[in-house]
Amino acid sequence: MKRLLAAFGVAGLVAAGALLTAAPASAAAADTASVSVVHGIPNTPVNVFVNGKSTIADFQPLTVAGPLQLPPGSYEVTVFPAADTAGTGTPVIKASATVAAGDNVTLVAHLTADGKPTITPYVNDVSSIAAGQARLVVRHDAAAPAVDVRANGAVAFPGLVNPKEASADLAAGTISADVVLAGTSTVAIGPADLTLKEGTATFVFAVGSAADKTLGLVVQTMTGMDSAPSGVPAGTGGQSASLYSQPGWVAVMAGLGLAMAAAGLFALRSGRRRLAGN
Amino acid sequence: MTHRRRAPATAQILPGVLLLVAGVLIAVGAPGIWAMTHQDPALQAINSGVALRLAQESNGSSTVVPGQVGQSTTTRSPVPQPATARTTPTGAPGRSAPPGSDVSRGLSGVRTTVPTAPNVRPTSTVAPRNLDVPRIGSPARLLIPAIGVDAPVEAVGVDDRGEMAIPAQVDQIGWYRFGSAPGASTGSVVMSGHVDSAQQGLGAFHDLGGLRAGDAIVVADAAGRQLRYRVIGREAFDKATVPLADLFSRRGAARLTLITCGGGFNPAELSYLDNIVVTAVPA
Repeated sequence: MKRLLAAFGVAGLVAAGALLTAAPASAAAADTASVSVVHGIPNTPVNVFVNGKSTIADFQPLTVAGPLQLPPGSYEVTVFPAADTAGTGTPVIKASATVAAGDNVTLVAHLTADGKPTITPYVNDVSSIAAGQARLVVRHDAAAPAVDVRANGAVAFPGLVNPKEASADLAAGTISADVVLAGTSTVAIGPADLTLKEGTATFVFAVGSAADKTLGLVVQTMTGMDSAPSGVPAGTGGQSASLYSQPGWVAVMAGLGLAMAAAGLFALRSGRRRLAGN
Repeated sequence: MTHRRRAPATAQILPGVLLLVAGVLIAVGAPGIWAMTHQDPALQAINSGVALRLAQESNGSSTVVPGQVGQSTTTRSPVPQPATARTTPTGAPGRSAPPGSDVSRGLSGVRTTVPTAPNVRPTSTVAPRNLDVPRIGSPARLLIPAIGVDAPVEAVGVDDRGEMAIPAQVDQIGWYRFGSAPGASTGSVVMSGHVDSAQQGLGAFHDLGGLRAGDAIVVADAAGRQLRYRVIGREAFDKATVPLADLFSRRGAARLTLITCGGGFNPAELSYLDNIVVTAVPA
């Protein structure tokens, strides 16, 4: 699940190359990679081209596309302004990503901490979740300083910086989440109610720009990670216990019976001998 | 010794015969009684393995690859806007490539969806429901005429040990609220009730093991709307190996799974060794 991210500038463009390694075990059966794309750059509708083909047209800011099911391999992702429908002009972002079968990845087009467009790939943790719980993953993809993410007023994820993520499995339910400047109670985003459904993962992306006052949240949920409770303890009395299941008494009784039968046989034999002896 | 010589032969052998007969009776009878109690219907499987088969049954609308089914997306616009400014995908992004579909078509063959519809509450993108299974609200009552059950149902989750929470009252039934709901087109509707309690005596599911194939089960919601099921299987599982993932699976065929305890009892831990599982399907 480790991620290798190398970002480098090419002719004024920001390019990000992502090498995504082995698939999580739970998704090993899949022969494709599941790839979602988040548009986290405000006020900039775009067209997304993958390997030169228009894949997501008129992609609106603060929305999520996909997941696409892609065969394993290396992909070149180029992002053009929405007006450039042919993808012939100068791309806003250009990046390449290598995905393996079974990967579950979200590519986020967003601003760096200092406001430059970039793409960050995240490997999504879709491992199974304990019964009764839900997973919350928060990702800092905004042109903003370090933040604390609070749940119901208490700091849940402290000191998150662009483009880091933090994650926890919590009791399923609705929480009120907000984002504050790290170490303060100055609210930067929110509060917003998040319904964390049992057995699902909720990915929250903080995007936009603090300087431009365009900070916002994009939320993506993934389902199917539920697991069963660990048991069904439905009886404490013992009144309904089956005799069969305590076979100790059966063995004792059978042994006793055999002993009696043997004694009887012995008595018979000695009795007969005595009779015959006369 | 003269008197003994003259005694009838039967008196000589009578104690031996009695001992032999009694011994044989006990030696045969004890395991025999054991075998008869072993006929305890709760522990005799009806349609063995049915719970697992239904869990794995493909109904064409479920995918089990985690994180790839039913994905839905929601976006929230910049802060000043109210939470109602949500959007949701217009299509069904979670089903862009069903299992077994031709993924070699490459990108041109991959469905993509750009979320555009405003002011729509996020929806989970599960497959369309079968219309022949009526929907009712959360279950409020369970009726099993064959064993005299007419019990209130409450929604339950898990306890602090991660086990299914069972209602505190032995005459109540718990419905596992994280699992499938009655009327859902897929998955197991799980209800559990006490077989008994050390404090309160016999529970609502005391006679669950007496159900037979074809017996009727009725689930009703608070408004009195009913769903009917019929029993197709009854199995006993050792708690150490009970296939909980299958019994609680939200995938596979639509079914009702009733669970209680049975088998041997461990008095030290106040716990039964087995789970009795009754499987029913919509009637």
